[in-house]
Amino acid sequence: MKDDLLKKNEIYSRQLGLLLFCAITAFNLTRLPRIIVNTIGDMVLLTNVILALADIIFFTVGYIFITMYGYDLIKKHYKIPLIIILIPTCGLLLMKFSLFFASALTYITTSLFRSVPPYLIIITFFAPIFYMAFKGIVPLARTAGAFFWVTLALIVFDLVFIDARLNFRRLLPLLTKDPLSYIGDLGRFGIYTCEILPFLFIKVKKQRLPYVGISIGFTYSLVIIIDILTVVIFGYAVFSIENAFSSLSIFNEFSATLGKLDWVGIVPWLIMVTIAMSVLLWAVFEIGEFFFKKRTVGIVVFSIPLLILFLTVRTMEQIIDLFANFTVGYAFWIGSLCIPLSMLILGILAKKKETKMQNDGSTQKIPQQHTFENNEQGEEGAGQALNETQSNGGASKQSDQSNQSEEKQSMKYSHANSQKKSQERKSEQAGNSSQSEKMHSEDNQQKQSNQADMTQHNNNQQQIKSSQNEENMQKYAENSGQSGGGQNGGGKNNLVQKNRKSSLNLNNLKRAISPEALTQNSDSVPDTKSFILIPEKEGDSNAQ
Amino acid sequence: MLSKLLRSKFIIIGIFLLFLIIIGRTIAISSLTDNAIVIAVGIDLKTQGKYEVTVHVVNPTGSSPESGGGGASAQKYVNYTATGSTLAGALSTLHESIGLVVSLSHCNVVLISKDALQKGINEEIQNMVDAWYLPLDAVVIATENKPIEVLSTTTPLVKSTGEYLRTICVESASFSNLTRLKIKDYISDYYSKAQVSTTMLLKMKEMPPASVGSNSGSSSGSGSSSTKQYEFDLRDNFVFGAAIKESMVLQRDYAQCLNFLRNKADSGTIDVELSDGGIANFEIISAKGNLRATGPNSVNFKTKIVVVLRAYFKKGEPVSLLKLSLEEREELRRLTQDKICLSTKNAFFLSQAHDADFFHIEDEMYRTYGYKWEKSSDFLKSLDATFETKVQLKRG
Repeated sequence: MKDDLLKKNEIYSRQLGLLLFCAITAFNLTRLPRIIVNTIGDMVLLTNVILALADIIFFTVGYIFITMYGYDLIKKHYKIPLIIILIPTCGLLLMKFSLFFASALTYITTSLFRSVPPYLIIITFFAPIFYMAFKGIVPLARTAGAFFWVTLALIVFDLVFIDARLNFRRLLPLLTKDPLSYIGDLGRFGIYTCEILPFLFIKVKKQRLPYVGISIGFTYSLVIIIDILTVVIFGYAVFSIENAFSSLSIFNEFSATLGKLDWVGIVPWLIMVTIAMSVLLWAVFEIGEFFFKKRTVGIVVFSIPLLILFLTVRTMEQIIDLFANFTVGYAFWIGSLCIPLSMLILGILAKKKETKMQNDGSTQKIPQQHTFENNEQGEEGAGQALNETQSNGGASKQSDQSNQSEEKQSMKYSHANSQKKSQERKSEQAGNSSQSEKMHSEDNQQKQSNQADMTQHNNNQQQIKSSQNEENMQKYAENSGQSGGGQNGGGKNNLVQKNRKSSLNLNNLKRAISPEALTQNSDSVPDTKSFILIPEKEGDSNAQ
Repeated sequence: MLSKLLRSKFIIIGIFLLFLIIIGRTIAISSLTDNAIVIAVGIDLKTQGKYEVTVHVVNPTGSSPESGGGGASAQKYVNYTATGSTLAGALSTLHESIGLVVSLSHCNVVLISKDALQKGINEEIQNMVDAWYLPLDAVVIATENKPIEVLSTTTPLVKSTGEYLRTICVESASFSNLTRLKIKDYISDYYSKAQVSTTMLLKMKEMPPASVGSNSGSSSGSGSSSTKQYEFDLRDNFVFGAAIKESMVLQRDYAQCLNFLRNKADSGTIDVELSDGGIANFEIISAKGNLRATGPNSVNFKTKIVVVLRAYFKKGEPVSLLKLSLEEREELRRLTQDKICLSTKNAFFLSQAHDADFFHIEDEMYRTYGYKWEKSSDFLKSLDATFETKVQLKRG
């Protein structure tokens, strides 16, 4: 029910936390310890801590960006810079997806289903990833939520019952090479740090608890604990482990009773990997939608070549060798730092621009106020003329046909004037709304309601005009004059009726306009939630 | 069009299921009966560097090549042997000769001859892990005899040596005083600074006919019809590795001290021979130790053991433990402490003499002093060592 209120690509912060859990753990728990030991040596602890801190910094930048709905703002105000940013982003996401898909597939084909043809595993594995990516981030977030407790229960079961000799001295020394060469080697791990990139395209609805912070803290603690456990248990043998997390299941106390418990590690890993890769692919689809305007085109353009690549490549190791190297690693480090940062800067600029436009919009309303004042004057003038004719009529106290016709003509003239000016106002508002198109959905809704109100207002005026009910017309003319002042002079807040007065005012209006007009144009019966504020007047009761 | 097609999830799920059903039927996934479940594997080095691999396979039907199946002579395990230039080659030959898929997924014992271990078969073992699913927690046991001989024998109670060794390796809590070198530790030791490994050495001794009793069990080997029964001793350790020229055997006392330092133990016994000819037997409640670098050229060995006195023989006669005074108990504790300390010292001196760093002192130096630490040419011999041993005697 709540999700119905969410905008496109908007998820709750709790859901973002769950998705981050999947994205971070999917590959940091499997191949990372092996690659660290292969590349650097024993420095698993320090490397993990550095990677976690770096990722937290990138997440912080990215989180600020996504909470300010930055992607929509940039899309609106800075299209060219966004294109420049999105091209490398798309490249990095595709590389990351390809590498992770190839890594996961290598493990599945070599360790789980060796006798099954690879193409079948590719299609079977790609299909749910593609489908979830196609369905969007909200179903993905819900899927992550549904599987989270199962995953957590299996992880806890796996970790709590470990029965192995733990040699914590294996974590030492903290520094196995000189710092400069270590920093150089860190470049290799860039691909494991860029977890924020796919999440830059979402919107987050904040909740009371800091779910994202809790999730990141918990996930990185888990990653560090499991990576440490792997090194502490396996020592230098870590580099012969394909999947660190599932390898820990070997040492589960229950494995002596229940047999091999590899599945305890493999099941949560498969869930996390599928969700993590779906998020990556979804982000690619979002970029495709931006470039090609149509989501379907983006999906076809990106997914089919990917599938062809996986099906035609001779071995998945080729893809791994292509992307799991220092050059790509450095590119990811630069990308994960520069892309969120540049998007944040652009987002801030876009927000400033947006605020400025809003202010300009309000200053542009000043001429509207003038217009309205003129209009008000005009209506007042019309009223005066009406009064004058009435007073003249009253003074003579004789039914003079010519006078009456003059009265009617002048009244018609005054109504025509007010109608014309109200149309001008409408067109001005329409012009303004086109300028600040999709500024905020709330504003849009209010503007739409304003326009609807104005249309309603004009319809009512036409109905009144057609009814030729002099008294009602006279009262409505007074009322419309005041309500019109309320519309433009008081701003948008005065335009929308959101309290119980609306129903009363609706009654006022119903009283003001003729029943015939209401029945003739039943579609134009206004919604009480978005109706023009018509102040109650003593005259109304008199009119009754 | 595509969007519509994709949105109709039931069509997609239907197509996908159909695809899996059709394709799934074409995949030949081997069933359990097509697998030869191996619980122990033996590796021996033959002439010209060839490997002889013996697999101890579960016989689910209870039939053997000799018996022709079932009945009273049914055997639970069967041995198969093949020779190859590599372990993988030998296993492939076995696969072809047995006609079943050789599955090492449930293998807990890797019995390797001393020659093969000293030659260094780390890469071959890694290949078995990667390609043949040899579990990383399988235990490596060195053997003086040929692995095929060991696996073909029976023990009086367990009947199959493979099953007996499997119990020793899996039931770690009951046999924690034994040195278990798991495959993961074997690989890790190979890449360590010391490049020396230590594992339990299996010694086989034929049991006299009187102790065998009325056992009429048949042999568990293929082709072996021996009715002899054997007992095994696994308390000595075998030291081997790339960094040492010649492998060596570490006697049980030294092996026990090494085990206290490198692993933890919460079972086992210690026998102390007293100067007056008496013997005290202690049960180990817990034992742990550590090795720390106290300087670039000095180390400290620290061992802490909690024991309970179980038996005391004075001049060959048993002494009631209730009658032992506190002073006598304290004297026994002190003697035990001295004995363990001395054993540790002797093990260290042995390490120096053979230039075999089985305590992994070099790794400890590296962990303490980092990458800047450099090993001198006579590192072990120039090393100063201090020993701290504490034995706590608890009332049983």
